[in-house]
Amino acid sequence: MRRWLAVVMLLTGLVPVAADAHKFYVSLTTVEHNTAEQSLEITMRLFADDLEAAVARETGKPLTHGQPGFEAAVFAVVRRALTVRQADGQPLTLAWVGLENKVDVTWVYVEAPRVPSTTGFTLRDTIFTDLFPEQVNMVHVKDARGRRAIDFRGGDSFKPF
Amino acid sequence: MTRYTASVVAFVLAIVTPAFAQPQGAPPDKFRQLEEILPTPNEQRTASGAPGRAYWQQRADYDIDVTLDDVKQRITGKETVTYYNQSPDPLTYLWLQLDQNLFRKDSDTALTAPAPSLERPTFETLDTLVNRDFDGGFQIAAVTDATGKPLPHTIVKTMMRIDLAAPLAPGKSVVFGVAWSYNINDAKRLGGRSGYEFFPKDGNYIYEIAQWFPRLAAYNDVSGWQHKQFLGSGEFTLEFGNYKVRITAPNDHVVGATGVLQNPQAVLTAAQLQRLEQAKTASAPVLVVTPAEAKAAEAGKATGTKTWVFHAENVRDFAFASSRKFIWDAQGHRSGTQPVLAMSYYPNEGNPLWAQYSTAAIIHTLNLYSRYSFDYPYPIAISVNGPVGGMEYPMICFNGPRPEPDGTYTARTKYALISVVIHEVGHNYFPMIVNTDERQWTWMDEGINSFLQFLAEQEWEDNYPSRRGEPKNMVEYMTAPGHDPIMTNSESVKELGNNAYGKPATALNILRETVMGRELFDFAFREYSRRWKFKRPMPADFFRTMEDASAIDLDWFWHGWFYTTDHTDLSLDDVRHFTLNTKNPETEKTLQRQQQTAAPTTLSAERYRDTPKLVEQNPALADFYNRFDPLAVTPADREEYQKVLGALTDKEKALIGSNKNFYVMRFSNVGGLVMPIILKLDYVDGTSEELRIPAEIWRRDASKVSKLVITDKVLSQVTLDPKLETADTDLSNNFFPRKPVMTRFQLFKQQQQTTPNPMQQLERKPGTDAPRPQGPGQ
Repeated sequence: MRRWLAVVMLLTGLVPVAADAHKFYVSLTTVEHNTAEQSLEITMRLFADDLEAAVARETGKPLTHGQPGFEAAVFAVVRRALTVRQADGQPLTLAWVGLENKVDVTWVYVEAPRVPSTTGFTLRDTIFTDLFPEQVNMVHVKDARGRRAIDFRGGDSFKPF
Repeated sequence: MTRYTASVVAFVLAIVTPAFAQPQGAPPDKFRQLEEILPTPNEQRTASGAPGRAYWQQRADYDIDVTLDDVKQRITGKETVTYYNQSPDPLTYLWLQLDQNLFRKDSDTALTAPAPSLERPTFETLDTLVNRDFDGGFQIAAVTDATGKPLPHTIVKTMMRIDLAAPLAPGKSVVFGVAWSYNINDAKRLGGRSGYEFFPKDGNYIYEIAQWFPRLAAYNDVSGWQHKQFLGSGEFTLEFGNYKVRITAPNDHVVGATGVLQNPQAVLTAAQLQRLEQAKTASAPVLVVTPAEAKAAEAGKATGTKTWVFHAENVRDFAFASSRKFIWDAQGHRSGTQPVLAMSYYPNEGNPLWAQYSTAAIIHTLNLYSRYSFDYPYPIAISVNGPVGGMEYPMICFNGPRPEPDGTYTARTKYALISVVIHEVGHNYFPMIVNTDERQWTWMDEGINSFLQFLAEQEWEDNYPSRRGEPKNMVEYMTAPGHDPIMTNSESVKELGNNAYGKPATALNILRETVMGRELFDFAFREYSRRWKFKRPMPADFFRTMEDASAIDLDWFWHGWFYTTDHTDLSLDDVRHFTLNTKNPETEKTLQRQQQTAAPTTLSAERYRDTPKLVEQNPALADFYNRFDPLAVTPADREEYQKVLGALTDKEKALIGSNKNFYVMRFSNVGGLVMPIILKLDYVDGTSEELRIPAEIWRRDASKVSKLVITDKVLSQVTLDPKLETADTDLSNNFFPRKPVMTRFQLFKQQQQTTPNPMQQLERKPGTDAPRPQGPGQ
């Protein structure tokens, strides 16, 4: 295992980012605890082409925004990539809210109902890290304790809220 | 004002206790002058931000023969370089950049790459990781002096030092030669700013060749030798010079390059020559090589080679593209007095998008960028479609977006293409002509260029879907704890797209629209561009010129936006309404009665209102005080008022009677960034006006300020930053009285719940509730 990882590290740097924006592999997810509704409201800002690549991988066929099955496939991608664990280690069940497409960016909305507090929570966001070695996922958390940022790269494990 | 306060009775219409948050960010004086941070002005760079009287820069001329091997995907070249030492310093050695060494297996880039995720890697990822068979990097065959004698040289990663036989004195030049070769990277598989793309369908290649020859590193008055190693993100800066390049390629290839083709008769057919001539005066792109000719070439094989000769003057680099798959279109354009040929090279796979948009976008870019900076000084402007997503070189750039294989395309692909062509062609101005150093400061070309790209997009069509430029699009990034200031070296920036493209583009747009105004900004920006055209500015030169040409002290802006990670979050904490005490008992007592009536009735008082009272049932218990109305106007009140009036001059009487409303507004700075306060004042009569207060309001106290607004009319609502021009990150404290502000999530969810989808709208029965949309299955 160790030896194989060393091989991996040698080559991943060969894909420098291009001069234009199109090849920055970054997603931004906002996780906000709505104390009035007692729900965890999650908004993901994803590059639309990256999302379509992930959907194609999930379903085994190319699908684009607006086609039947696209939302369900996006939800599957998101559920696999984004996990929020409660203090006892149990993952929260995410409910689908919807998505909207703004030319090159897709906004994905999911929520977890019945969340009275986020104390002791951990999370992990691995979206697209299986597709792009340079993928970085930024998560902004807003809850009663304030605002924090957590970033995830491929291979990162759960991090505290 | 003080004179009035004494005679003014304050009655507070509404006060809330704001939740004060402590502003973050260290410097207590947000307006402290930048001189203490910027380098001391000198003879090379003046305090006004212009090149000084002793400004100098080096020059390197290249004479290159290069052969493209289409069988082995290999470049072989030899160059004769004439290096002019125009610095005041003797040089004992020269440094050259060997960018291809980025692809060496032992490069720092490879060695320092973070581990990728190995959960469910794709076959493509695995293939890239496991089949590391690419043998990249320069093989330097010879380094020789002008007589062909070997020169000692040392390769240090992506740099090479050539030791000169004798120090190169100021004002002298040296001639030397280098011979080299390297394997071209598969850009689709390994990435890169250049490389090849293989088309399995027809067995052909597109080559986009750049950073392909040993190039003189910059030597300048600020960095000395700029030989910071190439790690992949920080692009480059180079020296200007003249190029003579002979490119030998398969004889069925079409080659486009930096510079003017010197031997069209030798490489083009008579028909192509004629079309190229016709293109110079055409009002739409003319096909020099048609789709059918490109298709025919794809099916054939080269029978030999051809050598294309290009000359380029006063450029800081040279790149080219070559393929038998290329369609080639061209259209003449004029930038000031400079005739320009705008040209695009793309395979049939690029159509229909490329024929329609690429050359049109080149010309639009030249028009717009020239308006804001200077006329385009080069005779050629090229956009090429190939494997590279977007990368710029002088006169030529590589742009990736392409339609689907069936010829259809999404709106996203269309706008991605137009935007990337604007962006990469725009790079001709910054940094190919205004020669900033991207190895050090990415924002100086990417940020400035993304800003101009936004202006170009906004003039392309209504509501162009620009990604960067609008302040509201930067809010998420600017509130991210732990993000980097813009003034961070290119290789250390965590989110290059937001940090070096988005945030500076937004900052400049805010400077132009909100802080300086379009006229002052455009004048100063044009001055910066003009001063540093074909020269090498540093951040201080930009900061200083923008102030120097505008008489606007911008040090607070550069501090806040470029050196810190503060964000804009201004809060309108409260608004208090004062009116003048007229001393007129009729007016004042009526007002007091209104206030009394308006005051809330307690629950007990309300419940006892109808209960029979003892004093009413037994009038013997009533006395003077049961009848006394303290708010009734008495003769004594009137007499007193006449006395007061008698003591006033006519002017004072008019002031008292002016009926003005005094509003004291209090603001706090939650985000730390000082910004202008832009207010929309809505009046009860339905009218409104805008009040723009410059950022200097924060100069004595950057955390809390107040502002007095005097109006004839009564306010109903005050809104801070009503047009979202300051990147304010929290709108919930921008309204007084407060208004609920929903998050993006809540807005979306509400919209989902209230708007049935089109199918539901069609099937909906009158009088029934909108059905809740169903999400995909759990």
